Amino acid sequence: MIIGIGFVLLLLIGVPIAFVLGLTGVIHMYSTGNYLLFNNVAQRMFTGIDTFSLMAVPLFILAGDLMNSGGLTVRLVNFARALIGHLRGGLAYVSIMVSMFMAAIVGSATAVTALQCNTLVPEMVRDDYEEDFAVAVATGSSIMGPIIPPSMFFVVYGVVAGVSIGGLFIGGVIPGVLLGLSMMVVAYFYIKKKGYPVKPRASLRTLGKVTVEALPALLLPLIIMGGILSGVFTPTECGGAAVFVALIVGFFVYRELTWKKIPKILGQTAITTASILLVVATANIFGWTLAIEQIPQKIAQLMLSISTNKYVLLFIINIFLLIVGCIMEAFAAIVILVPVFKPIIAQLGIDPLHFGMVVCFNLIVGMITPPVGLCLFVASSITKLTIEKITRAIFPFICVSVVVLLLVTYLPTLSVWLPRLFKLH
Amino acid sequence: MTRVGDAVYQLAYIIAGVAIGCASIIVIVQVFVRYFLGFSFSWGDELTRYFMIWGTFVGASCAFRKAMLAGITIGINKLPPEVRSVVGIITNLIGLVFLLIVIYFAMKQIFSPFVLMQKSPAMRLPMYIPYFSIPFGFTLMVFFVLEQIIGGVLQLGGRRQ
Repeated sequence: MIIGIGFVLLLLIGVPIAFVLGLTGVIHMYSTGNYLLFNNVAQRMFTGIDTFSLMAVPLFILAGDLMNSGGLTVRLVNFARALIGHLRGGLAYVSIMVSMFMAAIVGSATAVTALQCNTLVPEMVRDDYEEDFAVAVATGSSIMGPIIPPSMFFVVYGVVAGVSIGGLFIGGVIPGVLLGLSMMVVAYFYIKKKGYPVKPRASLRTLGKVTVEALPALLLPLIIMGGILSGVFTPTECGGAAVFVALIVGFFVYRELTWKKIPKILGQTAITTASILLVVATANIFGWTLAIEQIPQKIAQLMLSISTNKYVLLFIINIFLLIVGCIMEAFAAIVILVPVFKPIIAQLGIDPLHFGMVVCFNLIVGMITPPVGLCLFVASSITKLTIEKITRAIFPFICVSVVVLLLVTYLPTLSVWLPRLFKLH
Repeated sequence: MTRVGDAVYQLAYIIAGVAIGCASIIVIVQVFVRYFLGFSFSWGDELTRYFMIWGTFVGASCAFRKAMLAGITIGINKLPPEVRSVVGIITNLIGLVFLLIVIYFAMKQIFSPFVLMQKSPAMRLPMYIPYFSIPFGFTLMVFFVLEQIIGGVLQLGGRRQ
């Protein structure tokens, strides 16, 4: 109990989560009185990340960074604009579509937010869109990043929960696309109310030209999906293939990548990777706490005493995860909570792949919800709009995300149908 | 102090970047070799993992210095600046304790007779090489934590005068 309070207190005064997890575990080892356990502290951290699957994390970050520096974003924007830019308020749809494409390449929401706020938001503002609406569309749609494959969330969830990462990737397709479409519906009503101008349709020739230019960029998601669906590649190998294609495209097709840019890209990739994997490593020390205090079993008992109905409990878990997602960083939440929920999930007969989708979906909604919505911070620091203003504008998008979340929670088919179809689950 | 910090940071940044770069290259070469030439290296997975682990623990020190290690800062940011600096020093001291514990036991483990003899299954690489990433990376991080503590104390002192 004292340790539980200490854990929360350490978190609240701002000690990095990675340290808190490690310290809590160390204190628990001390409490057992068996000091020989200490000799395993480093070993535990080491084995926590000594997994080939985790290599997918740096590879997909690297592929995304390379694609970005290689001039991919501009071409994707041009392609989306030629395709749907002529609709009323077309740029808003373009923004959502670009988020979808980027999600299929980058796999992290904040990266997509930054790209959107730097490229599409200024354009929307130039075309007399309200700035807060523009930022809301750009930021809101960016949360598709970790749901549409590839996704760092799924890699970490897969490793922690022991679920097929390929299956999770494929399972994310339908929920991700559903989320994108529902955001387009929100944008539609807003645009209709405001009566934004209609722009002329791009000529077939332009459409052809930008499509050819964007082909290499569109190729990447195809390789990732195709590789996993056909069973040829593991997700990690897909990451390798994605980096390879990104290098070829950047150097030889778009020719915007230079050797000079490579060291910085690698360094940034390493730092981002480290910030994710360090949490995974120290969470493996924290595992001791869970085991000694039997926290997962206690939580399972507690929850089952409230109700034994699967749907009621899923609802409670959803609310809990939404709150956690609003205050805690997503990777930390995954490594802490997934082992905690594991027994109850097994007892209720919930498919762990489906549960992974529910967990990740909750956490991405948290990314655009104050007070700790990472995407909101990114958007606010780039566009100089206050968090309060963005929050107000983004509220409809949060609501529609929650609706999709409920669909994903109560219709497991949405998540497991595709993976089962391709025998990945 | 900052200049020394920058130099150490640069060193860590390069090591982490090179490690992740090497790991990525091995994966790509492995995929290529497996699907086009039809064989695979027994040591590929292992070497990739060890490079990734080195990249992680050394890169973590850079992530710390760039304030990229996730923590809950929402409460702290609401405090008045002076209190915030004090809390900052306390959190850094707590972090320091954790790092020192890990470094001590990691070194103890590395120098245990069992680990000194231990070789990796595929490459026959002495296991103290991958294990050493933890004390090495964490020592760099200790350096950055101290840098922040000293910076915080100086800042507090400066404000008093």
